[in-house]
Amino acid sequence: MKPVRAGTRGLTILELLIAMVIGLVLLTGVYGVLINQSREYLVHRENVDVTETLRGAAVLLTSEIEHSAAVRDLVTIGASTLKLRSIQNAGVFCVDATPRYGVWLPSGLFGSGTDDSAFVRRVTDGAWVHTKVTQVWVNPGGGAPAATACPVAKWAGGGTPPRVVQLAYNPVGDSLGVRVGSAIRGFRMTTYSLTSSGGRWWLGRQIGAGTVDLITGPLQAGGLTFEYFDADGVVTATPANVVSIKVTLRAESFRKVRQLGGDLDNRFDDVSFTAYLRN
Amino acid sequence: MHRQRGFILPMVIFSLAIMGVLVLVIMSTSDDDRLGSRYDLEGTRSFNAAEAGLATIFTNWKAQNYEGSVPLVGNTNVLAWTNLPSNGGRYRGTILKADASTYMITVDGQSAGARKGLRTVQMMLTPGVSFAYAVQGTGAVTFSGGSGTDSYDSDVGAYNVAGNKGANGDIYSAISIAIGEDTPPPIQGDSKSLGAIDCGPTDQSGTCDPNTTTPPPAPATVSCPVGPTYTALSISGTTTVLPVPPNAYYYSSITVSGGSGRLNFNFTTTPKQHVDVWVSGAVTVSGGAQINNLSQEPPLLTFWGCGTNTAKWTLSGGSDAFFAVYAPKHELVISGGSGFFGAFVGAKVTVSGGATRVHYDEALSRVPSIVLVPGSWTEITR
Repeated sequence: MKPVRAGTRGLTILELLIAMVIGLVLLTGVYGVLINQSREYLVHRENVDVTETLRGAAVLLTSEIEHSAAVRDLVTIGASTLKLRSIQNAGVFCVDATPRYGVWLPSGLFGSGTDDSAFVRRVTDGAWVHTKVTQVWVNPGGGAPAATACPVAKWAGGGTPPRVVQLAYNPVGDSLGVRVGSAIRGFRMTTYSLTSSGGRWWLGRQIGAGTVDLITGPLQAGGLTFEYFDADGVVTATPANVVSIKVTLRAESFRKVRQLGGDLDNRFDDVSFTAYLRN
Repeated sequence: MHRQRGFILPMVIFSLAIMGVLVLVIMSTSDDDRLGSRYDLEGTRSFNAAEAGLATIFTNWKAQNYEGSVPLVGNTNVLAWTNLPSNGGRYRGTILKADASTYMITVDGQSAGARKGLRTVQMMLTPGVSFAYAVQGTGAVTFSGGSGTDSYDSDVGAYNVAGNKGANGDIYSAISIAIGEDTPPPIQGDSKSLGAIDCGPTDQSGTCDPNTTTPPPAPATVSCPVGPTYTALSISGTTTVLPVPPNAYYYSSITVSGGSGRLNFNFTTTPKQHVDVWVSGAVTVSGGAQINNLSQEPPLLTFWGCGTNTAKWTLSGGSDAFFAVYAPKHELVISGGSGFFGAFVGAKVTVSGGATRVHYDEALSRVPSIVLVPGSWTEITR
């Protein structure tokens, strides 16, 4: 048995109790700090979530609105719904083999689906002619019809164009004046709206008559509003007269967090901006 | 003394470790948010750089002769990266001649930030012509028999009404200028030439600048738009009315003759629209016949001498001769003893007849030198 040294002794009950009380107080303090840190983190995370929702929606809607031409692209304008032709691609024809055209400097995705259409610029009078894209060839390797090769001598690096599209005009006579030098702008009919799903509200996007995709959110009830203004800055309900669109977005966090007062609630934020139609 | 091992210190260290992890997570979340904001900022700056580049190219379109850098359809001119003076961003333009009179401008923009975003915008334009002189000739310019120039502004009102008459009827020749002397001087404006000029107080009211060292840019030859059919228009003793719109007519030649021969342009919309008349051959208005712009607004009607043809254009004035003529390859013979309201660009230009006056419309100087194609602006991906 190990002998006990003189002068040493164990803790008394009183000392142990005091140590435990002091430890408990310290632990309570540490726990409080931890809890506060955790709450701050949760609040911060949800704030970021709301900010990201607003930023994403604002960037998307601004781009769509800026690309629009009132007469050509705005289809339905509502307080919480905007139906427009959303630009998908662009290019210029380097060869004309009506109804097929070689596309030079293509950008974006060229499609020939149900909801894909295009406007081509008639060089003779500058009008944009609405047409249907019925087939697309992608090169190299896409097997574009030989008759649609761009003249190499004129179009530097020409030959097989990166894209070839086949168009269907209605009426057929619309193709007159569409030729080499005509620009093409491809579109998909797209509707942006405040959409309900799972008991919450989202920015929804619908291509044609398809299902509505939830783009971003959640938004507050009534969290998406459009106001349309004409050249004089007066509110208008006529799509062809629209010059600018004021968009207001009100977002909320995905999760609820403990607020300063102790209540459990979402975080909220909103943004309002005016985008001008560039075309 | 035996060391007493407490449990407070480990607990505190453990708590600090937990808090440290939490702080790291918060910082990570904040950093994601900061990075997202940063990308947005640099993307926006790149977009603005591209837009600034596009605007700069439009502004300098004539001065930099960008048209001349892409002479053939399909030609491309890739410009060098250019730094923007304000924030260090930069842009690079690419000019493509898509059609005889259509150009596609594509501009890349980059911010000066570390990540250098890349955004690209594109727009199309058609070149226009700004008329800076009452009469401008690539050949000799001659005023005889007391004919001359003065000026007014159709945006203000009718000629010589409420003081709407000025002395800005400037003339220019790349060869020489001859003026028949008179009092007051026939040329109510300045005279400038690369060659000789009749200078004096009985010739022009303004400055005289022979052998000039500051000539204006030579007027560019315009190509005939490809596609339309060019037919001959011949009117003799009758009136033909051409409605506007359409905004363009195409002829291989125009002949209006006979005392009552009239070619009238009738503008049917409100506001009135501009019309271009493209002529690949000769224009002859003679025997008291007239070309009339019923709107009496010269900026609305322009005759273009296009292509390589150099046939003489003969014009005699009438009560409603309100138009601009741009035919730098054609000799112009202007007579009739009446007024012409507008401006003339030709090769050799001869103006004769005592009362023949070219009333230069100052509104023509404000016609933009380029016309942007509506609906063509887009942002593209590279």
